[in-house]
Amino acid sequence: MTTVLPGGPKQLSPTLTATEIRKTIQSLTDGEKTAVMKIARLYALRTPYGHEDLFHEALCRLLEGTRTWPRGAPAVLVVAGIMRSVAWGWRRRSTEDNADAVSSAEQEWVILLQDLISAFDGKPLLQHILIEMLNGTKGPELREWIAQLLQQKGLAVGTDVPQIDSLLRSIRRRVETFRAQTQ
Amino acid sequence: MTMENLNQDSPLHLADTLADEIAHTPAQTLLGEVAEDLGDRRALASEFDAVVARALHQSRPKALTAAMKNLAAWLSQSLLRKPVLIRVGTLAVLLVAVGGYYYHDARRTGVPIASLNPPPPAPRQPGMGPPFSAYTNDDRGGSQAPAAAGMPAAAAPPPSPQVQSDLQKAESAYGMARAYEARARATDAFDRGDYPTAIASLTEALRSCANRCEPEVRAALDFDLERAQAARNTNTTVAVAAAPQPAANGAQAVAAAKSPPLPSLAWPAQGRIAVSFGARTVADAQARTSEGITIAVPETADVRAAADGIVSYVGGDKGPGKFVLIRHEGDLNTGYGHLRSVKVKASDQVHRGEVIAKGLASRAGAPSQLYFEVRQGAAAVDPMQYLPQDQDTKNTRKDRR
Repeated sequence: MTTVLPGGPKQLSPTLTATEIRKTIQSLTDGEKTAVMKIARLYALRTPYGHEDLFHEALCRLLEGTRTWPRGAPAVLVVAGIMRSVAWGWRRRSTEDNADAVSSAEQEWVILLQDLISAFDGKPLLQHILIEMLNGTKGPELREWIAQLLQQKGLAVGTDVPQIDSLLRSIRRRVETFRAQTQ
Repeated sequence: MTMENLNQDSPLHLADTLADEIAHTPAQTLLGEVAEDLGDRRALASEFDAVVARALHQSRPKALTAAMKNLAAWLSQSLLRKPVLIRVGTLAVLLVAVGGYYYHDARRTGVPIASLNPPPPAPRQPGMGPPFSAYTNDDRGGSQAPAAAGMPAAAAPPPSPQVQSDLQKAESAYGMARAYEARARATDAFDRGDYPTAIASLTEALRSCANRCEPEVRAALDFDLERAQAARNTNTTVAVAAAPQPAANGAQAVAAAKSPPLPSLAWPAQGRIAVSFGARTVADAQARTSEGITIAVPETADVRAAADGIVSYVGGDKGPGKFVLIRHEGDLNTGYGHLRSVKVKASDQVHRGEVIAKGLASRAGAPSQLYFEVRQGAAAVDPMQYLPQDQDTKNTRKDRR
């Protein structure tokens, strides 16, 4: 039995307030904190700043209210989305500020990506999936594509979700290692 | 394998997919990976905590600055806009204009024109306010209480919605103020029987009012002018004879002219009389005299009607609290000032002893007092003549100064 206060239930705003954001951030588990920092390392790749700066910037924008936190949205996904946006802006600004060096930057990117792909030498399946990921295939579409690839190679019958998860995790681990080595 | 689509966005695409994978990876797996890579399960969590602590520390002054900016923006948008300034200015002009009318009218004493020649049901009240002697002064700290006769129509004329602009309102108010002043002089002259002066003043009022006042106001002035002209033409000796000669205190002269028997009134509240009728105030010892009595009563005291009657006015009092006016039989009116919670409204019928207000308002640090006045027509009379004397003995009357 619930008690209804006079005036009816309190109407919540669709987004968290700064106070609620503080409380939510401070109450995350170690697993969630680790996930956030791992994602920050990925998005900070080839940005002018480090992953801590990226997370710090995202957090400040949340607390200042320039970015909102939809009520009920998972913390890791919200923070990841903001970090992605910030990293995108940093990269774009970096390119605009160095208009003369665009071509050299592109060359650097090509070298970086080639190095990344080379890091998967000896693992043709992972390398194939990695290139598809770099080409922009993501989410369910990517999983469906991987399932078809596995079937074509006779490695699976139907959609083997645990196998796909394992492949993606392997790629992620290799990318993390590559990032740590190139930093 | 094709690499033709690789570009600067490729790492972002890769990060999107891997971030999604991380978000769906069990926490224990992630912590195990960190332990494997960095030798401490909480290595990244500690990084997280350090960044959060830094961000929270920095966000406080930023939040304060943002709040101040929002407040400044709101103030600039809400208070500094031109239409608001015009409204504030117009309100100030209206207050000065209406206050000027009250001031000039309050300086005048004597028999109102209404008592000599009772007007027909007023076709002219809405814009102009009460007939000539609607307001007189009292000694309640310099406040001006509405007098009995014209109280219901005595409120400040509300801005007409038909007026095209605020500036036009202000101009109209200025003209009306001049008209009120001239009209007050006309009333004085009329009461003295000096009809030519009254006619001249009314003519001046009409001139001041031209193209500025509302039609109702001009109609009211025309009406007065006709009456003054008629009085001059017929040489109304009755009016001249009945009108008191100019005196230092016309109200008291009128009061003295009233003949007994006097109706009996009930005390509106129990208490000591702090200021008696006719006492001069310290603040304005030169001219103002109390036109009622002031009774020192507890702050929570009930205020009761002195006799059966009809509430003719409930409204603001220039002093603290509110003012209630009740009209009784025989053109007798009683006024109650400094009320806090008024329980009646205009046109209500009240009975003797009925509670009309609960509690009294007072200025900070000042004792609570009830102002009580009695008027025969518009002329103030000593309430003690009407109040039971046995009660009077309970009340310690202050000497009349």
